[in-house]
Amino acid sequence: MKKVLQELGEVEGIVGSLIVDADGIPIVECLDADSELVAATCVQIVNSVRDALAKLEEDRLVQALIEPAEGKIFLREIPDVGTLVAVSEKNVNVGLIRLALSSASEKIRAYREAL
Amino acid sequence: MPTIDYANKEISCKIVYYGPGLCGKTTNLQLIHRDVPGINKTNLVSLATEKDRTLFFDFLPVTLGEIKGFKIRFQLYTVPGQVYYNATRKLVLSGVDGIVYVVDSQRSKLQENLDMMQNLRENLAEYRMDLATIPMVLQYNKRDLPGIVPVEELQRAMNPRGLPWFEAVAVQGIGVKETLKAIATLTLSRIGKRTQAAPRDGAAAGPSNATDTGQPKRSIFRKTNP
Amino acid sequence: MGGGGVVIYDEQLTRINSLIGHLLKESDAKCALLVGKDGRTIARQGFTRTIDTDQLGALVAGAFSASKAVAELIGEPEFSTLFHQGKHESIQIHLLDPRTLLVVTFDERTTVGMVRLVTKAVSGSLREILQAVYDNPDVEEIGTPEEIASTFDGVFGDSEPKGGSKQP
Repeated sequence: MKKVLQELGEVEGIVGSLIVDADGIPIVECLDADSELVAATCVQIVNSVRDALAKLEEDRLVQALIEPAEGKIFLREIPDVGTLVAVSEKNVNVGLIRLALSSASEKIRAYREAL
Repeated sequence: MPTIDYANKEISCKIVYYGPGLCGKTTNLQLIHRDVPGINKTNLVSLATEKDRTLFFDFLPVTLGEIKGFKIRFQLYTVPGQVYYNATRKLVLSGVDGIVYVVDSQRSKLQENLDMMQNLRENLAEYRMDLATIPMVLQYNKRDLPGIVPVEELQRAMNPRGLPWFEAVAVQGIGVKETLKAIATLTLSRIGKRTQAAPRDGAAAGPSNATDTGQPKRSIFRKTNP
Repeated sequence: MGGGGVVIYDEQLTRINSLIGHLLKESDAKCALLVGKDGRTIARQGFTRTIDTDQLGALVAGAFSASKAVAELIGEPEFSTLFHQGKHESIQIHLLDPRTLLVVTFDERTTVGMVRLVTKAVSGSLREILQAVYDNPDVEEIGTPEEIASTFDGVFGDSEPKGGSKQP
């Protein structure tokens, strides 16, 4: 899982990433920041979004993008594992990062299934 | 029932030293730790208060030889004797295979001995075990003190089942080994002899469905896997 | 007979050991134990040489039972997982089934999240084997009381109880 995050870090613009479980506890991290804070906060965001989607009778959350002024935070759901959080610079190719996240989350899901 | 591990060739039994406060339960374990030759010595774990009263439990694992190739291991526990630590006594009794009831022989303690026996009966009942059938020996401790109750009177009061009993002066090591040997023998000789329902869970709740699996008993010494 | 005794066969223990070995490998944890709620260690894997696993099992089971009382106070029947974090070493105690605890010790090389993730992944298979273990048939007697007592003679030195202590 660490390797997957390291590969993700090689994608242009990605500053760091981590995987957090449903309770906000980091599973693996590749991030030069207070990962516990990032993990806990991101799970809070994901949970609120999920609640909101439920109220709208929408399907499950797959991905969310948060755009603060200085950069971007990508949140990608991985069933049975938790949330993949990727932090990027401000001006990045969002499509490229989405693809990378999709591939990373597939790898992690496959790893979880093989456990 | 004791745990029987075919892979490591081990039988392990849980023995609990029970009795009122300050009757000498911890002293028994300390003396076993110090004196019994040939036991595989590890540390005696004591969770005690500042004044050396047992707070949680004492724990001493010992290996007492081999029977037909099986290492015989005993996990010896004590319970705290003070009345208000009953929750702890109850949890230490979980999965118990044999009991050493340590009696304080002093006349002033007779009622406490009786009360704690009743407490043992109630706590065992919560695990659906019966004081009348669990392997148990009695140790009449502190026989060196003045003002002690004669053995005949203790027998009438404490031992209606006619269980094995021993006089002891645990602080001097007198009677300690004999007591351990007796409970070890009694507990092991119960293997294979079912006398009552065993609860599935350590806890009190749940249906009593654990005993008869309908499968034939197998010899402990046969090697085939099921 | 009494409470939490278990009969366990070679093949069952091998499967348990392989599962908890897998858990250690995947989670980068140090040591894993299966402990009965009564404090008996059923299986152990990993760096167990420097740890007295008998003591660890007894104390962990005690701590877990004590936490049950705490849980009840706040309206839970019992906690399913306990986690104790130290400066370098930590321990997770997970209730696998009503009678068994899975205990994992780990250090900074991994995270509690990773240990939890892998624990969850292997729990189902472990539960299945344990169910079979708990369904094992009883065994026959291992010997007469005399045979058993004579085995202990060597350990205790003398065989006869001293003065006035024989069964009436």
